[in-house]
Amino acid sequence: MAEIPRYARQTILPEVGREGQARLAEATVAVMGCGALGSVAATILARSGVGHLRLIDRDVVELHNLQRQVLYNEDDAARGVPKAAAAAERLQAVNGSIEVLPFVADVDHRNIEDLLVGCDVVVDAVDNFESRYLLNDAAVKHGIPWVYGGVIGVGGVSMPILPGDGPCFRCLFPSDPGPGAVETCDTAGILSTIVHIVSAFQATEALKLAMGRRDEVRRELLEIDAWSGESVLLRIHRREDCPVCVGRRFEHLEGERGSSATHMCGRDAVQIRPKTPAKLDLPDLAERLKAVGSVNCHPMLVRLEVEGYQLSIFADGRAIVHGAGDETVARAIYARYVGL
Amino acid sequence: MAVEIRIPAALRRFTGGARRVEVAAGTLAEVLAGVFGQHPDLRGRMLTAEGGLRADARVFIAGDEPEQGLATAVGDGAEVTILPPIAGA
Repeated sequence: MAEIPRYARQTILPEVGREGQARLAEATVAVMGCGALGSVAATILARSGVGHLRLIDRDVVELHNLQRQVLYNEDDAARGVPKAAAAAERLQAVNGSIEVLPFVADVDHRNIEDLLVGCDVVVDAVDNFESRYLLNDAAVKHGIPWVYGGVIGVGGVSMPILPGDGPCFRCLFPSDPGPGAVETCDTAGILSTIVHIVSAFQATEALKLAMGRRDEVRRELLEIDAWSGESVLLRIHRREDCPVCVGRRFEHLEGERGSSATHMCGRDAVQIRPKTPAKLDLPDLAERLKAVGSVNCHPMLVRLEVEGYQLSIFADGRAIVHGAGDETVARAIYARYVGL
Repeated sequence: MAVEIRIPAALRRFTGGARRVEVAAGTLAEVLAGVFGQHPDLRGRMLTAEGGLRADARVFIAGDEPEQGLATAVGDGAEVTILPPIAGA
């Protein structure tokens, strides 16, 4: 008896068909961030038969990731393997007919264009706004569609961004909330189910784009609450004064915005400094951080001890991460607990 | 006029867990004033020190952007949605 073809249940769908499946096999999709959202999206895309997957992440697997980051296991956490490498290995085993390339990289304005060159679509699964503004700059500059996804607590959002055709991310949020202004999953918590919900919506739009079904892409922002089951679609308009998609000024890509990380000579510490000084509410930040570690709030700074690191966080957003000998690690810790 | 405001999960720590807030108001500014009256901690998350809407806080009436900012009229029974920036992954 002849074996049922691998994608039979998908190709019989009128939304996909044989032609859509063939387009998927030719497509290149980058998943930027291989944490919670990235694990789910990459799994869906690999199993659906996206021919070329790029998995990009700077982090290593830790035990507290396993609650929601479905590609990893206890052995990965014990060995502290890079997420991009573990994810690629696992997904290559799931689908040997596609190409899965890992990029263990801290994405910044110097490398993002190389990482995304030739992509048909990018799935945003990063954990901070700085990286999203950078992705938006690169995507608009090169005309690459991408799908925003964000989750916190029991809720989340997703929205496809089609450069040159509707609003970009800077139209949605014209101003960077700045360091320490928004909660992170590490300080506010995250329910694993909202990760799957938002990521599944992101992957759906990414599949449409990879199949060339741009006309069928959802244009609204979807806001959804996993706990209540409520959702709403919000219409976002292009801003006539948008510096990115209208003005084509790419401040993040030029390295004029964002933050810098500098290893402090002779010390096991890295300084993170936002290029635009923030105005942190230190008592509020201290209150949030009490959920994750030992916190001391002084008039000039908040000191946090967590995961064996000591962070000294100042009101202008500058922080010194003690115990992080590596700039990439320090940036990841900062994004995780202070937020970028 | 009765207006219902949806509070997304990310902002519920400012509303004591409340998912919806009902106020009587005619404009978006009055809607927000009513919400902040009930939940004062939300004010700093939504407004600048000068009283304008923060650029990283979005408000929608019946799923669309208000055409005249805080002066936009809000119809009876309309649903107002607040959207904060959500960074997590």
